[in-house]
Amino acid sequence: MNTKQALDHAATVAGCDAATAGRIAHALARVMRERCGDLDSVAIPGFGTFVARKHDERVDTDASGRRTLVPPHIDITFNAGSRLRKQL
Amino acid sequence: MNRTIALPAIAARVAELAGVDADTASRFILGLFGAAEQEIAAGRQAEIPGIGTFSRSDGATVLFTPADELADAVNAPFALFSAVSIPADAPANIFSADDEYRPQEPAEEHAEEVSPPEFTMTPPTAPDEPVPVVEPDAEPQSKEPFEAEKQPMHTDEAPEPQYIYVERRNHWPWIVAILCLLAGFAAGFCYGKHSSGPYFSNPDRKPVPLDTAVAADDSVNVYIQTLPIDTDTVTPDTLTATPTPDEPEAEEPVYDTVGTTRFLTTIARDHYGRKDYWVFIYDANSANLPHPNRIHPGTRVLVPSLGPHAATDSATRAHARQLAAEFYRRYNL
Repeated sequence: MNTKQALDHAATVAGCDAATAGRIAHALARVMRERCGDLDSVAIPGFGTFVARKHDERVDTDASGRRTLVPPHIDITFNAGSRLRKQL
Repeated sequence: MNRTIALPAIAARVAELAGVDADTASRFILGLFGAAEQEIAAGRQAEIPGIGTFSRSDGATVLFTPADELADAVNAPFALFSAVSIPADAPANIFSADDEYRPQEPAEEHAEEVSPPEFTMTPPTAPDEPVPVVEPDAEPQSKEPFEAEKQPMHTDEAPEPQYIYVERRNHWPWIVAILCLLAGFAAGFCYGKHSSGPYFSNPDRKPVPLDTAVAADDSVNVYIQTLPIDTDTVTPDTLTATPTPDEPEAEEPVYDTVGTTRFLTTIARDHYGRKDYWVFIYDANSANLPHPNRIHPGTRVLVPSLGPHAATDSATRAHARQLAAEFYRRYNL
């Protein structure tokens, strides 16, 4: 299932046309960016939770002993929900 | 921050941005992730635009790869940073190292921080007095080793200004309040001294025309009810009437003075033997007396003889009750 098929399926479930589905998909992506940028977690019932976690700067040392200062960054992880885990 | 956003809040925000109702947005989100769920369960890869890609690993776990636009937007505050190689001669813990490995601040900001504040007190020096020059060799000789260890490491920094906390005492509000209080007392004293006051004046008193007035003795505080005089028929000769020898001599009027502890009831008890007969005294002086309970101490009153009222004790008491009832009605006692 590609992106278009997923949007068509969601539009069928929601009962809206393709243009509205595209707008809703863009709005959903924007909401995800806003919430994860604020280090909030986004929970989808039955599917899972998107968790944003900030990692501070750190020093990495490779095998040759060379050290590198890694800047801070935010990772987004996904924790599968109970219904999804049962289907796996 | 660090909150968990549930589906209703997400749907409300999505509906606001997309211009649809929240129910439609909620059903769309559930349908979109439901389709991805079916794909993941089938072992295929599912991609949600703008969010990321989901795939199933060997075990019962789901691998999530965020979309580039989502990762870039989340890490936008750190976009200016990049990985930096650390020199080999750097200390082991560069985060607690000295100034050499700390980020350099702009010169202007650093100057503002170390410059002493404007209100730092400096000891006054005479204009002609030369600035003392400290000999570099003489000072360390006089200091003990223990004091030398207390010196800060960086001597080029500006010394910490020493602030002395001085409690500010402002007594002006209290002084002003006391002066206002004293002024009020003085004004009240002067007003009370130069005015008779509303309680001691007789509001029923009316000015008497000059042709009907008869001069009263100032030494006696008794109001004498006068009658109009016909100036056409009455001559000075008629006014000088001599008492006839057949008339009995009039009784000399009895006066008494109201005091702070001597009321009309007290006077009535002294003269009549019953305090209830105060109404006769008040009736005889009603034209000169204000409210019965507000007679000014020092007022002289005429104590009339009971006369016809003293026929019987019961009749006198009945008449006294009648007068008392009349006074009560008059002043709503």
